[in-house]
Amino acid sequence: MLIRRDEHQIDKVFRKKLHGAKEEVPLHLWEGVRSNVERRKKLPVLWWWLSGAAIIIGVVFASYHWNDNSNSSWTQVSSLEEQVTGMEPAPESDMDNQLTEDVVSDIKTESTAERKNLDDANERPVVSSKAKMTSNRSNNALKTDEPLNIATSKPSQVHREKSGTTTTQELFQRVITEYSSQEVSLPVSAELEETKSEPTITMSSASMIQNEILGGSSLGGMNPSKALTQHWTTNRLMVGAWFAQANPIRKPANGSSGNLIDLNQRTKPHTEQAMGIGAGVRVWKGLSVWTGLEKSQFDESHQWRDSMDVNNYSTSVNYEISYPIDGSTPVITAFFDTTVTQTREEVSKSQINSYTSWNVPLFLNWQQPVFKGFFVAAETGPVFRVDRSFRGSFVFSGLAAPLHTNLAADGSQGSTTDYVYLSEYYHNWNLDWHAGLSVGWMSESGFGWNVGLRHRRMVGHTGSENAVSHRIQSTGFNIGLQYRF
Amino acid sequence: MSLFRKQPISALTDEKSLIEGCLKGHESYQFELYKRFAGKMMVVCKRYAGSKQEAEDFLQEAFIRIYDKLHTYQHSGSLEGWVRRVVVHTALNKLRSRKYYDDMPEDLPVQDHTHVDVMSEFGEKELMKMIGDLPAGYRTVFNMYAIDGYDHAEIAEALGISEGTSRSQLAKARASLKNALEQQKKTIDRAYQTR
Repeated sequence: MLIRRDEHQIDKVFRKKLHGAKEEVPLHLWEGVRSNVERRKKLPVLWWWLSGAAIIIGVVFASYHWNDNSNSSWTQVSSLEEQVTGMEPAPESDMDNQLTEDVVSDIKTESTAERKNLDDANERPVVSSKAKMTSNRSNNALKTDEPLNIATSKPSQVHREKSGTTTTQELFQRVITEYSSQEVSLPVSAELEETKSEPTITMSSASMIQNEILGGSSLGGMNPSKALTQHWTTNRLMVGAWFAQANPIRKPANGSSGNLIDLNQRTKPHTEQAMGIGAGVRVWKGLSVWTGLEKSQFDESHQWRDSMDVNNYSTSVNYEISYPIDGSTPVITAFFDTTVTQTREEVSKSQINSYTSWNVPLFLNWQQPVFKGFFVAAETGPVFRVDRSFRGSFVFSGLAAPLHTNLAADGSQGSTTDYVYLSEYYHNWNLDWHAGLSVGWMSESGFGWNVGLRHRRMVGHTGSENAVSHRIQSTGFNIGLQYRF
Repeated sequence: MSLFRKQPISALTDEKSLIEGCLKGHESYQFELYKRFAGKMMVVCKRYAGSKQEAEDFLQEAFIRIYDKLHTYQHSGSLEGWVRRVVVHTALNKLRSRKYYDDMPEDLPVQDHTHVDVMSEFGEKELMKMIGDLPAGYRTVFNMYAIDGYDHAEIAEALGISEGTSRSQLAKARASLKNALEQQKKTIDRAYQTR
C-alpha cells in the first residue's frame, strides 16, 4: 500500500479500511467471464483456419493454373500433330483462316523467290522454305482449328516470300538443326516425308515442337507420356515429420440415454494436437506406404455443477460514545458484530480434460507431381492408437462427483487421494481411420514440405468407463517435412 | 502448448504456474485466478461504480481484459497490484464512455483542514456508502488518489483532465466526505441523547 507523507486524515481512514477489503462475488459473474473468454478463444482458431484454407486454395489454384497453361500447349500441339500427320489439302477458300496472326509472328519464312513464282505454283504453292520457330512462343502461337497447312497458305496472310522450291522437310530440318545446336537431345533422325502438297509430319517431329513450346528442355524429345512419368521420384525411401492441429466433433455411438445426455452436457471436445515422425517406401510411381510413430493430445472441456458451502456475512455496527469529564471531544467506539451463515449452493466448475495417446499409422500415400517440384498428395489408412494417460476431472457412471486425475503411464502418481487409477483405460487399443489431402513441394535435393487437411474418424477415449461410446470426427490441418533418399 | 508436459493441479497454488496456465488458456487456471482476486476487485469496482449492477459489469469486463493482457505482465510488481490496475483502468474506460467526466469543472483548490480522528472506527460498509454517495467525478479522483495510490499527474492523464482539476476534485471529495462523517456523527449523537 502506498503511504504518502502528506496523506490526508480522511484518505488514511478510507485507505486503511477499503484498500484490502474483500467481499463475496455472485457466482453468475464467473459464468459471464468464462463464456466471453471462450468466445474470444475461438476467434484466433477461426483465423488460423481461414488463413490455412486461403493458402491451400492459393497454392492449388496456382498449380492448376500453371498446369492448365501447360496442358493448353499440350492439347494444341497434339491437335496440330494429329492434324498435320493426316493432313489433307485444304480448300482454297479456307486458306485465309488457316493461319492466324500468331502464326505470322511465329513462323517467319525466308525466301529468295520472286512473288510471281508463287503464282506459278498452280495455286498450291509448296512452301515455305526455311521456317524457324521463334523463341517467343506463346500458347496462342499454334492456335488454329485448321491444319497448319503451310504449303497452302496465301502470301497475303503470311509475311514471306515464296521460292516454290523449298519443302516442309527443310523447315523441320532447320528446327532440328537449331535444337541440336542447343545441345538438346532430339531425335535428329526424325522421320520426315518430303512432299510438295501434302506434308506429313511424324510424331517425332511434332514432339520436338512440343518440347520446345513446353519449354521443357529436360523432356528431351521424349514421348509426352514418358516426359510426365519422368517427374515421378526415383527415390524409394522417404522420411518425414509432421504436426497437426484439429478440431474434433463427437457423436454418441451407443449407451444408455441417461448417460449419453449427462456426458454430452458435461463434456465437449476441444482440440486435438499431434506430432509424429515416419518413414515411407515408394512402391510404384507416386504410390508409397508410410508408417511411423505419432503422439497426440486430445483435449475436452468439462463442466459440471457441484455443491459447496458458501459463507454469507452480515455485519451490524454498534457505537459507544464516551464524553470526557473535561468537556473535550467525545470518543466514539464502534463495535462490529459479524454473523456468518453458511448455505449450500450449486456452483459451476470447469476443467480441461486431456488424453494423451501413442499412434502408429499405416498409410497408403499417392503423390501426383504437378509442376516444378510441386505435388498434390492424398493418403489414407488405419491408425493404431494406444491411449496412454489422461488428466482432468471425469464423471464416470455410478459416481456423483467428478474425479480429479493426473496419471502417468506407470501409475506413479496414483497414490494420492486426488488421483484415481483406472486400469481399464491403460493400454486401451483402438483402431482409427485417417484420410488426408495435401499440397507440397520437393526440391531436387530431396527435401520438401507439405501442408494440407486431415481427417480422422476415432473411437472415443472414455467409452468403456462411461458405459457410453463415442465416435469422434477430428478435422484439421497438417504440416510436414519430408526427405527422399 | 502442453503437448508433452504434465501440469499437476497442485501447481495452481503457485503464482507463476497460475499465470502460465492462464496464458495457455486453461480454464481451471483462469478460474483459480478469478477466485483469488475477484473478491477484492469487486470492492474496487464498487468504489468506482455508481451501482452494484455497474460494479458487476466492471468486474466481468476487467477479468476478460486481464486474461487478454496477462502476457504483458512483467513480474516486476505483485500480480495483485497489476490486476488492480487493470481493474481500475477498465472501470475508468467504462466511466469515460459514459461521459462522467465531461462536466468536471476546472476549480480552484479548496482549503481543507478536516480532522476526523473520532471517525476512524467506521466500518467498511459505511465508508463504501459515503464514497458511493459522492458525485462521479469526486468519487473517481478520490478513489484513485486516496485509496489506489495514483498521483495527480496519473489521474489527469487517465481521466483527460488537468492536474489542477484533479486537485480541486479531490479537495471537494474530501470536504464532502467530511460532511458525511460529521452528519453520521451527529446522527449518532442524537441517538445517544435520546437514549
